[in-house]
Amino acid sequence: MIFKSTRRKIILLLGFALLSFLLFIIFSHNYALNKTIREIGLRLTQIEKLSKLESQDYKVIFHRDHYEVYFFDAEKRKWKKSRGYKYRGDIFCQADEYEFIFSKGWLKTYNLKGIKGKLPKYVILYFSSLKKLSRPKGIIFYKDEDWKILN
Amino acid sequence: MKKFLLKLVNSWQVILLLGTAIGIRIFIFLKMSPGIHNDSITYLFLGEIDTIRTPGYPFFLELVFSINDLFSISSDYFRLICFGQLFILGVLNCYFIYRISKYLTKSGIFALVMGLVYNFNYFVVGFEFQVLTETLSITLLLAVIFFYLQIFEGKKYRGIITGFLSVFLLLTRPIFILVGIFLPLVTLIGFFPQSKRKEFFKKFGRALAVILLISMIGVLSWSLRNKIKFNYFGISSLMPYQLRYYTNSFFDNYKKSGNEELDRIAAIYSEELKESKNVNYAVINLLERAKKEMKLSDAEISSAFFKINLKLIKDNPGKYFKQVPTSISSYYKNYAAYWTAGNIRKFINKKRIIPKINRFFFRFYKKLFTNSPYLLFLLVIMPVLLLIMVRKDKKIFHGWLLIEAVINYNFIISVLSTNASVNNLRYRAGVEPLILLVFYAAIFYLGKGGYTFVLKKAKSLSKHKN
Repeated sequence: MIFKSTRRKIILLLGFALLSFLLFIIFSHNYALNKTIREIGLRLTQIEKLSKLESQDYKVIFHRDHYEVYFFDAEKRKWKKSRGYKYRGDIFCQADEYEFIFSKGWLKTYNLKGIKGKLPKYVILYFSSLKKLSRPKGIIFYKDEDWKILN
Repeated sequence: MKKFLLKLVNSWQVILLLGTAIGIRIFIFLKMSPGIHNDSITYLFLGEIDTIRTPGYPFFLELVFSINDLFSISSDYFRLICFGQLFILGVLNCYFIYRISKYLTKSGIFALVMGLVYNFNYFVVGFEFQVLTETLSITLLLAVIFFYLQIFEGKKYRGIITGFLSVFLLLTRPIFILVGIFLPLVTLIGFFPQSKRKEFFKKFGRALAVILLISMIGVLSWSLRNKIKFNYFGISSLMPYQLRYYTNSFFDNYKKSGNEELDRIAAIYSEELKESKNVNYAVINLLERAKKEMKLSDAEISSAFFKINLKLIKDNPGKYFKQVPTSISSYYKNYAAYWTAGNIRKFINKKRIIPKINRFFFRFYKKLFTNSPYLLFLLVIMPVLLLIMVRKDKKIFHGWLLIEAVINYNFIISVLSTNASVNNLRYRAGVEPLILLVFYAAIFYLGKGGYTFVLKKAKSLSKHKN
């Protein structure tokens, strides 16, 4: 009796189906992975803009379960931690303690834990969900250049 | 099927309008490079909004990003935002302009022309590929006007829709904080005296009360969130930092208020103003020093800075109002699209059809806005003429009065809160389509009136001859 017309019933059913579909995808692993990668990408753009505005170098260190942003304090000649950010859900970074140093928005150099000697021309940082290891997503960092998210 | 085809044929105006709007935007999307400004990076994370920014635009971005997170469409996030702004908001703007024009002039052809012309105002469309709040503000403002006008057509639930859209609008552009009070007030002034009182309240009273109530709840809830999280009661703490462009020169003559905290902050800012080469650094340094020396939070500094600014304006009213004309000039007597730097040549040139049309309108509007006599014509003479011409139809008169009131509301608040130092032109963008709509509608009515007049004369002449 509540829903008098068929039209309303159809709208309600469609709404319910859409909601279920959205919930299904939200709780799927790809959503959290995509969101994590997106947030890292936007964060890198945000700190690049900020560093240019304040003429500061910055570095980003990626750990297994979080990453940290540091700005270079030119007066004290020291790196100052700005903030740390956790990855979403069960997402983790396949590398640990990979450090990327940027100057004027360009990737100047990087320090990769466990890798010594001549630095490679680029580094791909892979992220994946603990429950779905076979489908990682990556960010590529080119030395003396820029970074890009691999779709 | 037959019914559907018939409906399709009858909607040829909308199909033509949307087809053109989408076509133009495909051209723009393929050629543009997204504009990422210093302001843009403050909207990227919905969960990290401070007291300066409001959640409207970050919410829209989050919506676009979330859909992308679900389906993995693109990893070029800024192009994605522009895609959303161009193809959702931009196209919606065209549609709303069409529908509002149609409602207020009862002419489908005029409305279609208005919808099409909207696409060629590069000053406005240029914002569709900037990561800035302007395009969303235009969409929401047009939507508020569109649904608000439908209340007087007796359509159901329009009060609720307008109320929620008003909240979304004021949380996108805090300048519209009073929109929920302002619209019913204009109605009371422009519509109410012409209708029977009891009937008016019976028909529209509930919808207007709902708008007022929802808007108040919207403002209060975000203010409360700021109070709980940052100890700042208000929807945005941006205003004091805008007002300083007016008051920077007053700080030399700051008279102590007796409030130690305010006087200390004023003294720090005054020192920083003298020492910093750039006035923007003076604020950054003020924030740093006040946090360090006085152990205050950003919100507390902003709140105190607001009180200082109001005190300075109260102590120096003459000096304040002396700056208003330059602020007005910066708001109106200006026409540029510098924020689309790097894109201008692609979209305004003599080589291709769309940039050619853009160029024509850009030069035309530039002439209108930068010449004082034309500006007077655009902003005063034409709107007054329009209101006089439509005065007999109370619903139409009310609609145009409402649009004119919104234009002037935006103008007054923008001009009084920020002076020319920040270039007020950007604040005009939100109501620019409405300014031009009023102008074109006045021409339309003049033409229509002139045509009817000539027709009548011709008829009476032929009668005399017979």
